[in-house]
Amino acid sequence: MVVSRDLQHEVEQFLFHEAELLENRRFEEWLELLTRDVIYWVPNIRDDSDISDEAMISYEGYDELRARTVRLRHPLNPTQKPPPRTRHFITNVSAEAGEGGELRVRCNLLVYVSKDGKVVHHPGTSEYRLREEDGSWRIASKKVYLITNDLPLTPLPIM
Amino acid sequence: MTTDVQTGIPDLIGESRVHRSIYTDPAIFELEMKRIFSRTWVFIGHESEVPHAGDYKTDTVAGQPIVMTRDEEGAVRVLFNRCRHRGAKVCNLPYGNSSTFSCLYHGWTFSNKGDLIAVPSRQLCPANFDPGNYPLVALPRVESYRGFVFGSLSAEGTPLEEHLGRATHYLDCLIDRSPEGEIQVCKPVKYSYPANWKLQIENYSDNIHARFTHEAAFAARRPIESGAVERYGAGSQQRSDLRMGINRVLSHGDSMTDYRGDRPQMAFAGRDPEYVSIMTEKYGAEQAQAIADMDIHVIIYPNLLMHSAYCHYRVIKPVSVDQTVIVGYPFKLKGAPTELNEAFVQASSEHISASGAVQVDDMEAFARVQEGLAVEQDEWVSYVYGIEEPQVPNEYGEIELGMMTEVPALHQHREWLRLMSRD
Ligand code: FES
Ligand SMILES: [Fe+2]
Repeated sequence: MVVSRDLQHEVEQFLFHEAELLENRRFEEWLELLTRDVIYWVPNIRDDSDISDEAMISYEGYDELRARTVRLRHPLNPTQKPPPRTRHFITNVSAEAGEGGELRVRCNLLVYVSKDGKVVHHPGTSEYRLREEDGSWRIASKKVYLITNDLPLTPLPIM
Repeated sequence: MTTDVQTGIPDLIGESRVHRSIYTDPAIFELEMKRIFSRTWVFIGHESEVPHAGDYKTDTVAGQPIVMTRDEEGAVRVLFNRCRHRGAKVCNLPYGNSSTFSCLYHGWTFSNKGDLIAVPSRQLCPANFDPGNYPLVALPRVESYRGFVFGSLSAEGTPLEEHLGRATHYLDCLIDRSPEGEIQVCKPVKYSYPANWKLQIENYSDNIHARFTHEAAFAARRPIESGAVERYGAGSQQRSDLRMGINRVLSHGDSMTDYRGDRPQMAFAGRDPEYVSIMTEKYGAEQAQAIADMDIHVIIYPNLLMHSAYCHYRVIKPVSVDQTVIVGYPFKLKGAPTELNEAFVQASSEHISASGAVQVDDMEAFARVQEGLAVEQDEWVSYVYGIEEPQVPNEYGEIELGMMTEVPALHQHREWLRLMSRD
């Protein structure tokens, strides 16, 4: 079921805000958008890969993501000197009511990463479950289906 | 220095230094493809990747397309993925199951043994046309050791087991951590980095770099091995000086590191009571615990890197002189608890994926080295750590060394020189 125009607008603004936080390396604020039981999942090779049986590009919960932000901030992290610069392009947003008052959101995603004189792009689709907590939307799960997930990848930022 | 590639090779490898051109010269890379990757035994894949009749996976060896199949009789074959008619790749999927491969171009159809079994419009071919003369070409030599399939593009050379020598013992160590003595390989993650392939294989025996290159990963003190830590506890803290471990140089550029308790956080299998008890039944308590705690790296030159603690191996695929792809396969220990096997898959993925915690640091280091080596005024790459340690072979012919040593890398270069020096 399609959501109301207002809710659609709200969802889009939420996604744009998330992208802005990531682009500007406001990682701690990004963490605040997550529920404590969040799953951030980037499937490998194919979209319906089985994490119990196949390597994964990313499968992280809140603690791992928090640790990732600590790494990203660490002054001796060689991958962040200089930090890659990213832009997240989000289109084709659709939202529908999910279970237990959650929203199921899909959008297309194109992340550009500029580093070491090269620009690489990572095209795909994101699928979210958004849950309302304390009057705000939070990300309960984010699954990123890259159309390049079967190719050799270069280091990925938080998508 | 301009290298006369054919004659200058011996000058490139010194006692404790190597010339920058082995990482930067495209002509040397071409020669490596011929003299190393098209000659010595290279790792192709594991039989458990094609468990059933008809299963196949496509890949490349020395940049040439191959297909590894399991035929209807259960034999694993490695064939060039190249139609015998006018050259098209006959199989364009990464993996699957099929008893035949039909060429998209003019419809020649080959069995998964390689036999040409159908030629459309046969009546238009010469009367003496014999499909028996056109099977898919098999790799000149294919042999496997306990499921690990190696191939050589050269018809001549030592048999696989003889070539592997002492490395078979360490393959046994890794495989026998499975209660059933068999592993099941999982679908891999792949990453690519803009630097020479040798930087990855040298890095795998380099225990000096970790506390510099990976400082942030360690300092984040998050459960690096997240899922596993949650389940099995972190163990005591990793010792950054890696005091207890040792390296062993084997033959033909192979080597291994035994961390011997230096990285308890990573060696979580020993904290799975169910696994330890399964192994205890087979080996007795003491040996079972040692097997479960085993934390070794094994390098089989030129393209296989194995990791016991997380149960994965990585395959090095040189693309060009300054571009390399690594394919990292987690594997499961057959007969081990499901949860433990799942923890291996997750820990391996997190360790080596392009979105992971550790290997991304090394990729950065490789890229920096490749950029630095563009400096022509400074021709030599220097090895200094541990090179004065006595190199006395033990009873197995292994040279046992401390942890902080660059000697295994020097032995890789010696094997490089041996292979590259022969026409
Ligand atoms: S090229 Fe394969 S059938 Fe002609
Ligand atoms: Fe490393």
